Amino acid sequence: MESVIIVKDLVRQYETTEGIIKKTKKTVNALNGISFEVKKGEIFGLLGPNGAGKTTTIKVLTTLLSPSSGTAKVLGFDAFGDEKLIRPRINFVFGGERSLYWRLSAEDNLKYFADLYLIPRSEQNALIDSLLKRVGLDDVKLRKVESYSKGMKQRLQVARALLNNPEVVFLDEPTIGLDPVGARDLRKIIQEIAALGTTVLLTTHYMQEAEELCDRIAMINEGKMIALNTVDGLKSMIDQPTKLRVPSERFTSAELLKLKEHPSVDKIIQLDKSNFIDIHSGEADTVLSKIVHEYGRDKMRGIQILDVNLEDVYIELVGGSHAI
Amino acid sequence: MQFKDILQVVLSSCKNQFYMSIGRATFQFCVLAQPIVYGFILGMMYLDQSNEAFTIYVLMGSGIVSFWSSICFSSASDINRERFYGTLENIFVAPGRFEWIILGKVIGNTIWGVISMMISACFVLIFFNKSIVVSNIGLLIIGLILMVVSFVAIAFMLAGLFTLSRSARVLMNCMEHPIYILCGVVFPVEILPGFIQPISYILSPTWAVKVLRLAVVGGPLNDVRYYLIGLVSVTVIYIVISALSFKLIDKRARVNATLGVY
Repeated sequence: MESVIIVKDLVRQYETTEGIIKKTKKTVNALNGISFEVKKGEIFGLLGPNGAGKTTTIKVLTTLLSPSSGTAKVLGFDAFGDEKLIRPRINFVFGGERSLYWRLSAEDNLKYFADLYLIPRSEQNALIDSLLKRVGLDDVKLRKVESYSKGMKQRLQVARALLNNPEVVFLDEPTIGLDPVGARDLRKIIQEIAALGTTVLLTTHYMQEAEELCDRIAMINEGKMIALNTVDGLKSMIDQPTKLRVPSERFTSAELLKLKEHPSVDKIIQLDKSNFIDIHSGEADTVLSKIVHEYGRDKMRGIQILDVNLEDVYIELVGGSHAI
Repeated sequence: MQFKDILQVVLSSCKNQFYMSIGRATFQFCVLAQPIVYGFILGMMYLDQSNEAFTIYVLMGSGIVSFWSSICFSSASDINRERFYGTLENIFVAPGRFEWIILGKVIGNTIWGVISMMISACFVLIFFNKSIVVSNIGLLIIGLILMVVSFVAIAFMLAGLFTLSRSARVLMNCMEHPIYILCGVVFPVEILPGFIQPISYILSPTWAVKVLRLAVVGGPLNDVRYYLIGLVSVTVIYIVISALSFKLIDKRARVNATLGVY
């Protein structure tokens, strides 16, 4: 299948200054040579901690930033140099509530952007009505955006991004700050966009969201690619398919060290800034039996047996835990 | 892009700007109240002067000052505002071309600038009840039209340049008042120190004031021609600089990462 996005050895540096009176220039490497390709019609996820370079990657690909070196191609064209050929065929949504005119209504926002995207006036009304319906804002289209909830603003941004029927849509943390229902609604819309054949490049901090939506995922950290695979492929990087998640206050260090010596326990990790400890094991039932046998049934309270998920892979690769 | 597309973008951007601007309290003050303040201050200063001086420096001066204030404020502030709204990136990459979008915004603000100028003139006429002198009404109309076009060109040029700087608001504040001093809006350029005067003549308001002054007090045809050519030439230079700078802006803004708030 053809690749609609090709990123090769992409580097982006920023110049910044330190100090107030005596300023010194400093170069920050936001991207340190990442490479990946996105196939046509794919939902491709970019995961990584804050400052990993996800937004910078999207900004380079949406022709908003120049690369310092390397290749960034969209639909076969260079993102820096052929931007005029790319821009009419793509669109983007950046997370948060910005990128809209709050003093205008939803309808007026879309009419304005439709004009800027050179959509003929004769087609605009029908298009805008259908988009507002698709994102569930048709009954509030005349209300000013400033009165919208965060979720409504995000959905309006998605409608704006679909005005030009883009072949590729870039979504940078589209569900950030949304309540569970709002996030679910938006995920449904993203799936509908992809079902129509639009390629989606998505960044998110929510592992469950990435797992639910993405065909393939690239994990980046400090501007470098650290993994690229399907969700199942990434999960297979963890040796054991199951784990026990136990409340940390229920076990002493000595008890945990004793558990670690059990042959079916692969590793025990303390999640940073969390009240839980994960015991990775291929035989979770056996470990649970041992806990009951050694410490009684009371110790079982609050323990969950979980399948390994994307969060475990993320924590393993990016950090955020330490072994006991 | 075809002409009808350009027209669609410019008109839409202009309409959007016209309604959005006046929704802001600061701009309301700038356009509706400030002209009255300027008119009052200058009126009191020139109350005992000749009717010609009153016409030039109070009626026209306060109008030009109000007009410049709204233009200057808007061209820089709007770019900065779009940057903080997060919409600068959206309009920057829109196929309707950034320069046409900005032109529409500048025209939208210019309409308010003209309204501001008219408010100032009405206040001065009604409040001070002085005799207004105009010796060449035709030249006055031509001068006013050219001045509006010239201010649009300046605002267009500045808005483009402000796209490259995230310190646009500071630059704007630095630019607003020197124009009143340098361009002979509220007193003649000739009383400025000689080494400053060349700067005055690269600024189109200086030439516009000269043309309007001739329309009030009259003068030889050669002077009229000279100042009109000066005003048109400076305006054309602004347009050429704008056209060239917008070509560069697309690259420089992306290299320097000035489109968003990072």
